[in-house]
Amino acid sequence: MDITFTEEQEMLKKSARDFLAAECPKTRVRELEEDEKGYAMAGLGWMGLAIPEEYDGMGMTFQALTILLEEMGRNVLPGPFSCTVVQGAYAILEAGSEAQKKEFLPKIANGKAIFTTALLEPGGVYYDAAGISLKATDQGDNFVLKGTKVFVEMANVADYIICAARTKEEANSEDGVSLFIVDAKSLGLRCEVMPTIAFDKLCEVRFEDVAVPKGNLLGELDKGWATV
Amino acid sequence: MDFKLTDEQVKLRKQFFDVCEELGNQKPEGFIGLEGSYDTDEGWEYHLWCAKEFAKRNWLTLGWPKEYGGQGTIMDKVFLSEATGYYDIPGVDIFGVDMLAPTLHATASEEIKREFLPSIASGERMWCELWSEPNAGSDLAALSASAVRQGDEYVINGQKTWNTGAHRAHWAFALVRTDPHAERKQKGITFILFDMKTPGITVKPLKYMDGCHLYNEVFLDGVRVPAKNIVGQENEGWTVTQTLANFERSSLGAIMAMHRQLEELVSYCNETKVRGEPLAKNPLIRSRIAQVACDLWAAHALAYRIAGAQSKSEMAAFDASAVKVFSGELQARMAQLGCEILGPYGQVKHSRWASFEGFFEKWYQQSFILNVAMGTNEIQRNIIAWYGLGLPRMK
Ligand SMILES: Cc1cc2nc3c(=O)[nH]c(=O)nc-3n(C[C@H](O)[C@H](O)[C@H](O)COP(=O)(O)OP(=O)(O)OC[C@H]3O[C@@H](n4cnc5c(N)ncnc54)[C@H](O)[C@@H]3O)c2cc1C
Repeated sequence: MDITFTEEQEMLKKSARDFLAAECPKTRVRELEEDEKGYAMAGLGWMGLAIPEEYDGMGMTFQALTILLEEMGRNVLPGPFSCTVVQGAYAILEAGSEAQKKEFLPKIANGKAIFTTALLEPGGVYYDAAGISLKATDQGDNFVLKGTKVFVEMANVADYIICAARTKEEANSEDGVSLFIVDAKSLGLRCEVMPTIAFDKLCEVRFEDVAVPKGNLLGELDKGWATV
Repeated sequence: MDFKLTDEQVKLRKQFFDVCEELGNQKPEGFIGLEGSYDTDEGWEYHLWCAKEFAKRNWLTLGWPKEYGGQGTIMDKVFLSEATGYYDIPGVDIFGVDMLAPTLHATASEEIKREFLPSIASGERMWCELWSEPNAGSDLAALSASAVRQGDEYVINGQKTWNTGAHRAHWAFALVRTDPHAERKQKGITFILFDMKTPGITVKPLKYMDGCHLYNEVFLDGVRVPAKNIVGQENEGWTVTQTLANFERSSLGAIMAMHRQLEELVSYCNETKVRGEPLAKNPLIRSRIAQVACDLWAAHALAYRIAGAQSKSEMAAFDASAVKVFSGELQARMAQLGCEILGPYGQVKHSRWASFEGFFEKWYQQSFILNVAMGTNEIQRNIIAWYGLGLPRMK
């Protein structure tokens, strides 16, 4: 195993470290926790690092991304970087249709869209498929989502929420889970920040009959758990 | 060694528990631990109210000499601290009742005792401790706030820090340097009492890591204090602080608080089902709870032994250090275990999403206090090493 960095990776590490030291010194970190506009912007310029070039990204590897994440961690940079890139962009890369990739990845790469993922529901303590009971019902052009998610990171500033919903009751709970890309401004969607020990903007998100266009189904119907 | 309580002790202990349970009914929502008393107005009012309730029953003077209104024994005070710990009831001022009163009994002049003990007994006057400074914590004798004698007053200048409740307390007991030229730093320190409303005192909040207002920085600028307010002799304040080592330091309050936490955890695990099974049937959880329970009973036995030895004046200097280290670290472990068992909910603060009004999140954050305040655990381990094990003293 070779765990030394290439020259390019060393450069990335240095430029990330210098950038973060200048843009987000320790004093700024605390301020950012309280500054919704500020933390929503944190790290936006780096969003495209590991997104392929055909979708406006820089096309670097996952390993390069981990170098960046390590530097962000070193600086305790708050914000929606990892939920957008690690959860959002990778889910779309893995499960998205070509049309979805063309629509969403450039937005992420250009720092124009914040993503997050909604899995856990009230009362659930494990990240398992049995805990997914938020219902998505087929209603013609749309699926209609009804239920509540908790511990959704940065949902208060997100533009899109990837929501795991139940589309079918099956004996094996991993079957019948589907993923939807939900516009955070949708009618019937309510978000509230939960107060937590790390002030890290984990949110309760209530879906009160939220209509999601069928085109926003991410991956195959009922087969979303594999992507989760 | 015999831990068996007399019938009388059993009766009194039960009375303490009954009263504390009842006082608990008036507790403001979200009131937890030391922060409960100092962070909010409501909590502070509750602290004062509980103090009056205890004073009514003469319970703030347990173990005091009879001529100062005392009743009962040190052991009785230990039982009361078990009850207040278990129900998390404030009212027994940790500074006035637990620290200053025994200091005064041991070292103060008759005049000082007559002036300051009654308002501690009646629960009317609350105290804070102005000892630590930015450059004097573990090495407390390095303190530099100065007091200069002018006529029948001292004029005090300097800065204190980490002062718990100084923004609420009525009076302070402070350590100040009266002789900057003494040959040893422990010499030339004086123990002095003053009203927190004296001109020249500025109290600034130092927020605890969870955002609560627990402790403060206290700036002393030309604070004039009557010279008669010193405890013990001028320049001999260090000796006065050393008497603290002989006070009730069994940590039983903290230990009983942990019994309560353990009970809460056990019932949570019995009641909460995950995948159709109660958490209590999860072997990992059972084993970790059982381990904490064993440690807790060990801490309890140790604390009783120390309280017993102390009430017969047979306590060695390192005994209390041992129980402080063991129970303090156990508290941190138990609070963490609670947070882990609650899963993602363990991190949620008091709100509609939190289990037990955010009890474990709060305890987790407060669980570090005991390991730092009143001599860090590293310092306690040094004491055990020097006095207990006879290892060489490190400079
Ligand atoms: C919640 C809380 C409440 C407090 N309330 C009060 C109060 O009301 N009034 C008041 O006066 N003070 C108060 N204090 C201050 C407390 O007494 C000091 O924090 C404590 O004595 C440690 O001093 P320090 O913080 O300066 O740390 P330092 O002494 O600077 O210690 C830093 C670290 O070095 C270690 N260390 C230091 N010396 C040695 C050594 N010789 N050997 C090995 N390790 C060593 C310590 O263990 C610690 O880990 C409070 C502190 C806390 C946390």
